[in-house]
Amino acid sequence: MHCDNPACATICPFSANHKYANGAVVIDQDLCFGGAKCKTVCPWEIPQRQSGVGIYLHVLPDYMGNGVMYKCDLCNDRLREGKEPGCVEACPHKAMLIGPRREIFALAEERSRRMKGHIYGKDENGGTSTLYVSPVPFELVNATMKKEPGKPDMQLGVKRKMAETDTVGKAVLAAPALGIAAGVAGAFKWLSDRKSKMKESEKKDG
Amino acid sequence: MAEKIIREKGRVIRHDVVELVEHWAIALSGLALVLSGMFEMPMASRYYITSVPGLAWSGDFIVSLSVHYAASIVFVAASLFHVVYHGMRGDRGMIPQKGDLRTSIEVMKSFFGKGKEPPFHKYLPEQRLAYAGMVFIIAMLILSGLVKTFKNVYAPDMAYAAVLWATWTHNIFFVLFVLAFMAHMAAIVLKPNRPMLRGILTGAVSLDYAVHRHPLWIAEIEGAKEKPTQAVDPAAEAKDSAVEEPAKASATGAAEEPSGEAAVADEAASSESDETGKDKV
Repeated sequence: MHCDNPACATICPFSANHKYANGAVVIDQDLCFGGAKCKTVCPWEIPQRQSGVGIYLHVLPDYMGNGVMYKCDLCNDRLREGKEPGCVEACPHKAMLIGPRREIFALAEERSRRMKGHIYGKDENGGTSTLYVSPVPFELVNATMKKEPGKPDMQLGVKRKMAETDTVGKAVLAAPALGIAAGVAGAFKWLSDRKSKMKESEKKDG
Repeated sequence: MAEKIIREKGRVIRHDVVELVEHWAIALSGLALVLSGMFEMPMASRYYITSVPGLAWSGDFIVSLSVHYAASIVFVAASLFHVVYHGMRGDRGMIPQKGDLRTSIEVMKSFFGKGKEPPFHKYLPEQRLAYAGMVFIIAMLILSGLVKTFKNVYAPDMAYAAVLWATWTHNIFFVLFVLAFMAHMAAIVLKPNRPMLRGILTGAVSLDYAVHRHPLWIAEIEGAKEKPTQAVDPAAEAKDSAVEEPAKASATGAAEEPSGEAAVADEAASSESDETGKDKV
């Protein structure tokens, strides 16, 4: 789905999964140990593991890693060459489009309005870069789907679970300022205490 | 400085409350970070850590990330407080000095019965070196951790090179942090260092220990006073003849030091050992 803030990418302990500026969320197959955290945090469990391949075989295969995770990479290599993703190019009905985010979002809204339809992917998991437009409500679409490994469903309004950590994360980013402010305040207090002590002792001596 | 000799109780105040709070805030949050950081690897479920009572949360990456974040607020704030507070006060006792590497090798040899320890300031030369190493490790962990946090919250599409740098710096320095922590624990297990454990738990070490092992520090404290007190309270007499050895060594070692500070220490140390010697007789 190439989410706006993809937990599958940000939570990878080796940063083998990354969201590029062009929007593509791509797993580096040479860096992935197949730990499947990305699958766990994805509401659709889109990343799937191919066991028995990858870099983990060359490290500690019995103790860490289990293969390589795979997901759609938006044909990122083709995008770099200025080509369209394979699926977009191959579809005989031109059912899929790719383009600048604003244009695609506007087009999706317009199509949805015209067919009195529905959009999926705009708000799901905190927003994605993949929009589905359908005249059939997605509750009904989802009801026909059965979530299985490699077969995601289309449940409406799935939450971005990692959003729960955002508030604490922001507090972490503020922690350096907190520490510095407390340090400066503490040091000034110490300085003024020392000054008043010195004055006192001067008075005594005087 | 809150450093003070309390002769009637046979103690020297080594750390004030602020320092104790700093140390334990960094230590405990650091341990929480190590643990929750390890749970950020997909290992808790694989190795049945989730079945350990109280650690059921370890298999949930979102929960362990929250714990990691919460602990890092304490860790980051305490670390920066430490640098700013002591930097502004001009505390330099833990900054490595010239010759620390050579001296610390001598000290380590002395732990294994080869040669004698030189007299110490408040901190051992290896403590100063370890401090510098730990500062570097913690600085790198904090810097890379902040980059990772910023990426998680605001910028998932940050330049990949920056993300890879932050991730691998964080992972590598995590390993170094754990090794440094184990070395820290090993150091406190060594018999000559054990009296310092009381220092980091209560803030005070025994005067007897300090006089014998840290004569330069004691001399500093006494030098800071206007009227230096002369002899030690009988309560502070040496109870263990084993600790008397370094005192003699320190006296001779200090005598070789050309600085004025060391000369004071020499006096203090030798008067100490004379005192205790008389008492023994």
